[in-house]
Amino acid sequence: MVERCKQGDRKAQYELYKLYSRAMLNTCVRMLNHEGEAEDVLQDAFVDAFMKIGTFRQEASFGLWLKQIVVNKAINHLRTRRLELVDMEDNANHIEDSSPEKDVEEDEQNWQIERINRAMEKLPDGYRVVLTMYLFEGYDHEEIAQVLGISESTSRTQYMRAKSKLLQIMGGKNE
Amino acid sequence: MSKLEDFVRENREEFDSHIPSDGIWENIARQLPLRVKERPFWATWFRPGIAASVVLLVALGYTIGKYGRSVAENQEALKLSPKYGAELVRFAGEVKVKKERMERLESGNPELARVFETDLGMLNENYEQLKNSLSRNPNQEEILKLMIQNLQWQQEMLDRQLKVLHEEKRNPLPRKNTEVKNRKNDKYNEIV
Repeated sequence: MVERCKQGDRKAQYELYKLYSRAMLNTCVRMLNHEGEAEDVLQDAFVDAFMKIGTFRQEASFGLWLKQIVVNKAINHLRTRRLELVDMEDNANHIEDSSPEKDVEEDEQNWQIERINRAMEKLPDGYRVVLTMYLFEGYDHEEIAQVLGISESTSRTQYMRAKSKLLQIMGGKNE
Repeated sequence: MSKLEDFVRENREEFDSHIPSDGIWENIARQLPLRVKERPFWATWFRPGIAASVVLLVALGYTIGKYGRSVAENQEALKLSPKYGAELVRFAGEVKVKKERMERLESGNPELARVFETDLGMLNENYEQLKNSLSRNPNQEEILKLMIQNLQWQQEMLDRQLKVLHEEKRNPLPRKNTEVKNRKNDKYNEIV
C-alpha cells in the first residue's frame, strides 16, 4: 500500500488515511485540546506525509512515521500559539509533595475513560503534551526531550507533575 | 508500574473518541498532486550538467588518445617550428589511428596484411630517415615539410588499403593482385 502511495495512487492514499486518521486525530486533540485546530493539523500532516512519502523507508512502520509527522506538526502549532510548553517555575519539591496524594488517587479502581479525558482537557498545555506523548503515544523521555528541545530529566519531572495534576483534577471532581 | 499507565495501555483504543469530520479527506486530496510521476532509472541520472560533462570528458579523451602520444613523440619538431610541428603532430596522430584500425581489420586477412606492410614499410622507412636527419640537416623546415608530405602519403595509402580490406570483407573473392601501387614512392626517394 505504501509502495502504491509512493506512485501517487489516490486509492491507496485513501486506504492509509482511513487506517490512521482516527488515531492521529485523537493524538492531535489530546495535544492541542481543540478539535478544530486538531483537524487542521491532521489535514496538514497527511498532506505532508503523502508529499514526502518517497523518503519513507520501511525501517519503521508507516504508523510510527506518520505519528512523528503529526506530533511535530502539533507541537509546532502549539508553539505558534506562543505557549510555554514547559513550566520551569515549579521546583522539584513539588513532585515529592504531591506524590502521596498521587498514590491515594491511584488506589481508586474506578478509572473511567471519560474522566481521564475530561481531566486531560483541564491540564495546562505543557503538562498535557508531555503526558500525551509518554502515556498515550508511547514516546520515552529521551524522545520527548529531543522533540521538545528540553532535557530528559525535565521531561521526567514534567511528566510526574502532569500525572499528579491529572489525578488531582480527577480526585477533585470525584468528591 | 503505575496503575494509570496500565489502565491507559489496556484501554488505549477506547481513548480515541474523536472521529475525523467528513471533509478532511477531500481537503487533503485537493492539496495532493494527481500523480507523482516516477522518474525512470535513466532519468535519475540524466541531468543536463552530467550529460555535458560526459560529452566533454569523452571529447577530451578522444583528443588526448588521438594526438597525445603524437605530441609526445614529436617534441623536437614542435620546438623547431610551431607551425610545421603542429601539422606534423596532427598527421602523425591520424596516421596512428588509421594504422590501428588497419591492424584490427588485417587480422582476418594475413595475406593482404603482408602485402600492405611491404607498401607501407617503404614510406615508414623514409619517414624514420627524415626524422633522424632532422637534427643534422641545415634546412630543417624543408625536412619537416617532407615529413608531413610523407605522412600525407601514408594516410592516403592507408585509406586505400582500408577500402580494399572493407571490400574484401564484404565479398571475399579471390584476388589476383592486391598490391596497392604507390607511384609517389619513387618520386619521394628522389627528393631524399
